[in-house]
Amino acid sequence: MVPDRVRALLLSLLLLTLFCGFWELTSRTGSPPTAPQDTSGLVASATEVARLPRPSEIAVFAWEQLRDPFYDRGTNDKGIGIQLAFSLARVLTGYVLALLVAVPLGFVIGMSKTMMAALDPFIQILRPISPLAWMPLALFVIKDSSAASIFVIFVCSLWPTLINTAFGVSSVSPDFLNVARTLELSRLRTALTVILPAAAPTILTGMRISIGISWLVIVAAEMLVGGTGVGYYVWNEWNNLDLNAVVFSVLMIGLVGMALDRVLALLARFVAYDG
Amino acid sequence: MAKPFLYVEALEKTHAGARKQGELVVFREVTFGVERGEFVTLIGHSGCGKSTILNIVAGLLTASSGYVFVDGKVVTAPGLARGVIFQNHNLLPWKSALGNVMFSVRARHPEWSKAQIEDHSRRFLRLVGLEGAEHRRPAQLSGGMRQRVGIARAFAIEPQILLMDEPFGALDALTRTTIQDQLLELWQRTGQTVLMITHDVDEAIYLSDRILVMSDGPDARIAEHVAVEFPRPRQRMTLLREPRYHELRAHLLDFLTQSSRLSNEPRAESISEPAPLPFASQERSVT
Repeated sequence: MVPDRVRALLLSLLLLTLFCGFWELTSRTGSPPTAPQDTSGLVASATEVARLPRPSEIAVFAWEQLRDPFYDRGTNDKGIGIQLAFSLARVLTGYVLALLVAVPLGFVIGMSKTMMAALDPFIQILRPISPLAWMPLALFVIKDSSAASIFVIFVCSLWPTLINTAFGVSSVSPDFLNVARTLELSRLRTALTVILPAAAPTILTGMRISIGISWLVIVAAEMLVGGTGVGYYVWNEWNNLDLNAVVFSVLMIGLVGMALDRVLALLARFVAYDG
Repeated sequence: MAKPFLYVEALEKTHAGARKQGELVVFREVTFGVERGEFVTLIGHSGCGKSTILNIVAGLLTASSGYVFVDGKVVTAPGLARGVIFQNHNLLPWKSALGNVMFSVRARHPEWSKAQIEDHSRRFLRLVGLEGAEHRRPAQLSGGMRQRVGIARAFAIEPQILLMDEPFGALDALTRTTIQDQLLELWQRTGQTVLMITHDVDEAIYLSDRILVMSDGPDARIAEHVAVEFPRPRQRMTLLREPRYHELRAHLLDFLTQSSRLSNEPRAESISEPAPLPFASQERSVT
């Protein structure tokens, strides 16, 4: 018998091959549409139907890009590694700032019914606002496009962590709190040694949702404000009509997003407990 | 007149009744004492409020009226002086068996070094036969082992008085007897003062010096004090051969079943929730 994991892997590879093969064969041969440099190109592009690059073309492009991901040939020509690094730096800054606010505030809300009731209306109104809706205000107040996108990341990663922390803290079993009470632990010690580890899995779930949303939002934010970052890169290559680069960077966004999620999943396993 | 070491005086617990039905008295006029080193059991049906009494003694709940004194001081809040063994063990699931015991010992002796805390904790885990399982988390332990960690944890902080809330309630009969024996041994070794809650007549006779029998709730009281005078250390098998054991057992069972019927009468006139009648017969068939 072939183990399930191997069978699943084989099936995945089969699906990938079928998908790419279908794509490869249905794309018409000929050069992919690129930014035309001369008038004959303009004439040709008017008669020729634009088409997606084939997987083989993208693979060649990706290979070239990944061989030198950190090249820098001016404002509009930077390697994918540099662009991803810009985006990651913004995401991580905004995300960490959000954690520094969301976890302590979530604790306060979760530990006090009054605070929960008092802050709930604000959370309910602010939470459904699309993070990008803050962009004009952020640009006006901060007057720096990079800092404005960090602020947008901050806002969008705040809510899941805040709400999960509050929920995790408020639903800590009263049994554990009774243990703390019989041991005469101070409020701070109870919070750090009983409530925090008890609520940690729920908090980590919130943090995992937050990082996922941040990575979704940064692409859109960078498309808006431009300059650097993978979101800007995608849009810039679209304007250049370099679809090889567009497809390639879309795949890279997916890979980095997956990596971020994996890291948080590992952390979650570290604080998990049964029962 | 010197009060007993633990003295519970005229304890009463009432709940505000729903929809102006007046107050629902869970129990009242509960007065008893436990001497230093004594093992006293509070026995009664579910719903008589015996767990509530224990939680009030622990300081986790407050009484509607009445007082609890330990060593002459009024109990107002939970504290390290009263160790609690909870019904559902209440171990912290993210800590190992050893980690759970150490957590309590550290709270009791913050001035101790880590090695000292660990030594002390390991000793008590050894006393309940958990050598080799120290590093397992509660989820990796059987129900009986978990309860033993709970027992080791409570004994390890060496409280003035140990409170046990049906500590064997969730265990199967075989595991229960083993852990009862371990508990007795630990109790004899440490000379702890113990107040235990149970609904198991055999358990009460085997373990205690004195049994307080509660009538059925609502409006429960302590109906009888029964001294258990079998010499210690007790042997389960020799106890079973004693005719007086069976007399006592029959007396207690008789009282528990009688009392549930008697307390039906005042219940009919006081407006309160319907009595859990089938429970009495169920209880009889178990014991």
